[in-house]
Amino acid sequence: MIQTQGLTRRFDGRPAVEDLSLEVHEGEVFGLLGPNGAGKTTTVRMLTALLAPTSGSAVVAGFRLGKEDMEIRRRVGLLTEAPGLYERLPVQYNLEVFARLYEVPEREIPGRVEHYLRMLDLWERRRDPAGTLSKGMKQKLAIARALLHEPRVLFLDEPTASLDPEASRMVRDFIADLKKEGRTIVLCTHNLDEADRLCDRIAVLKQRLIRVDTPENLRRALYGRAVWVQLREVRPEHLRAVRALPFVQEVAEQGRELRVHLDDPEGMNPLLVRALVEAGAEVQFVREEEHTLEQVYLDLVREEKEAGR
Amino acid sequence: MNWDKVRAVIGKEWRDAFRNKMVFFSLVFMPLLFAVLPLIMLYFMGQSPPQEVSGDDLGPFLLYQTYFGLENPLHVVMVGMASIYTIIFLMSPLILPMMIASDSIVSEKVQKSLEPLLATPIRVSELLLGKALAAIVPAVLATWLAYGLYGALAALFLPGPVVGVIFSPDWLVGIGVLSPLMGLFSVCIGILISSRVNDTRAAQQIGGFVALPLMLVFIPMFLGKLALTAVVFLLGAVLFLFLDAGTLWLATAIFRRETILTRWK
Repeated sequence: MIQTQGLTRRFDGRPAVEDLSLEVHEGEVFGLLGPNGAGKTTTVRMLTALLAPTSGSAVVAGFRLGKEDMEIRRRVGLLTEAPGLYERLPVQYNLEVFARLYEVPEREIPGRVEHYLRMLDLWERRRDPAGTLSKGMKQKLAIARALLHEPRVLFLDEPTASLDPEASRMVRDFIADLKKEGRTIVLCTHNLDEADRLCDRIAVLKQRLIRVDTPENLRRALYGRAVWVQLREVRPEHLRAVRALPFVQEVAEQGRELRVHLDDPEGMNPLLVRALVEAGAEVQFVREEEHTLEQVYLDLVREEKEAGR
Repeated sequence: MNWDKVRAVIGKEWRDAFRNKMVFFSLVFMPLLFAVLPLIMLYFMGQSPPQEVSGDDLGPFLLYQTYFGLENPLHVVMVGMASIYTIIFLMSPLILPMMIASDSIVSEKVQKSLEPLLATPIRVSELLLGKALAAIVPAVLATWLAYGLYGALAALFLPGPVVGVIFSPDWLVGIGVLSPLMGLFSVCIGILISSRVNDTRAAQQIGGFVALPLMLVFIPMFLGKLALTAVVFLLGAVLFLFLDAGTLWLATAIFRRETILTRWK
């Protein structure tokens, strides 16, 4: 759905996005993560044909950036960081104006507007000025505005930034519903928990692409997989029994726990536990080591910083 | 040019602008003042005894005596004054829409609606034309209505020659053709300014300053040095037609989506 090749954008000679090559598949939720100033918004603005790249190329929804910008704009929807509604105008009219600008046939406009307002529980507020809505409702209305023309790709730039937890959840649930409908979504977010829950794949950016993969693979690539086994007491023979297992890559002792690195915990844990029991150990708990996406992200950004890029 | 999009922009601008009391006041109340105040002055002037005005007092109004073939010196002065007051209706489309026009782009930026707007498949020319028409059309309609009211009340309370000059073919061409084109020029300048500054108040102040030099055009008219005939108005209309097209083209050419999105904070 989106392919970029060496996409670069500089402002006054300073790179905002550099040499970005990535691919977003149809129907996936693709996350863009990165610290402030990493180039996420610039990337979205380039891919929605709002900013021209300094160099590189991209194809969005089958159209070439820079050459078929109007076609791209017809096929993408954009939720900007701030909802940017016409606050003095009624909720319904906010959608009607954008439906016309997005070339929705006039006879279909009332039905589509009603559909989205009902879907978002805003129908009862349709005559109220948009400025009277809560922050969460405004954000939902802005998402509806981006969906009116049934875009092939939806770009959501920080959809839950500055929302309270309840409003954030309301918006997140709506994005999850859109995901179920099979829409292609590019999601810029600082909220790593949100990215973890919603995104099929994640790109970590800091001007250039640091890494792109599924959240799970990012974790594995950085830390591998490990299990923690808690014993009533750790003895040297227990350590020897674990080290003797061919699938164990590394073992470390921490108090009454053993940290065991292995590739396939689901398959190998029973063998590991049996070996320990046969060595006389009393196994109390076995749990897989978990890394939050936040840890993954912070470590990737730190690595990048240490590499001096 | 997609006229549905232009119409969508116009509709949105109107609904938004008319919820602003200042805009509503300036578009309705000011033209009403333009219509009523000159009439009051002309009415009381007409109540003066005829002997108080002699042929020697006519000064710059001699032009009107010759042009309209009037004999009564009081009527010559009243016709001259009516003609000068009617210039207000030529000028009002310069002043009235400036508030909407100078605010048009910068207000979108201030309420952060410009980025979603520019992300739609709308051309800059469609956006700016929509904004220009949204600003000029109500101003011209308000001016025409006020002019009609001015003429109708004049017909009730003022002598025939005065009504004749207000509704003369010259002024009908002036108010009907030149006035909207002059107004459109002022609007295009206002939009041009609005897309170059990042603060609503600055846009309105600069817009006001830009409208002032345009007023210089009216000085020879006020001084009676330029006879306001249909030919003069039509020549002016042709000149402003080119100026309008040029300014709208310039506003479109120097409208920088990228600068507006990335530099305005």
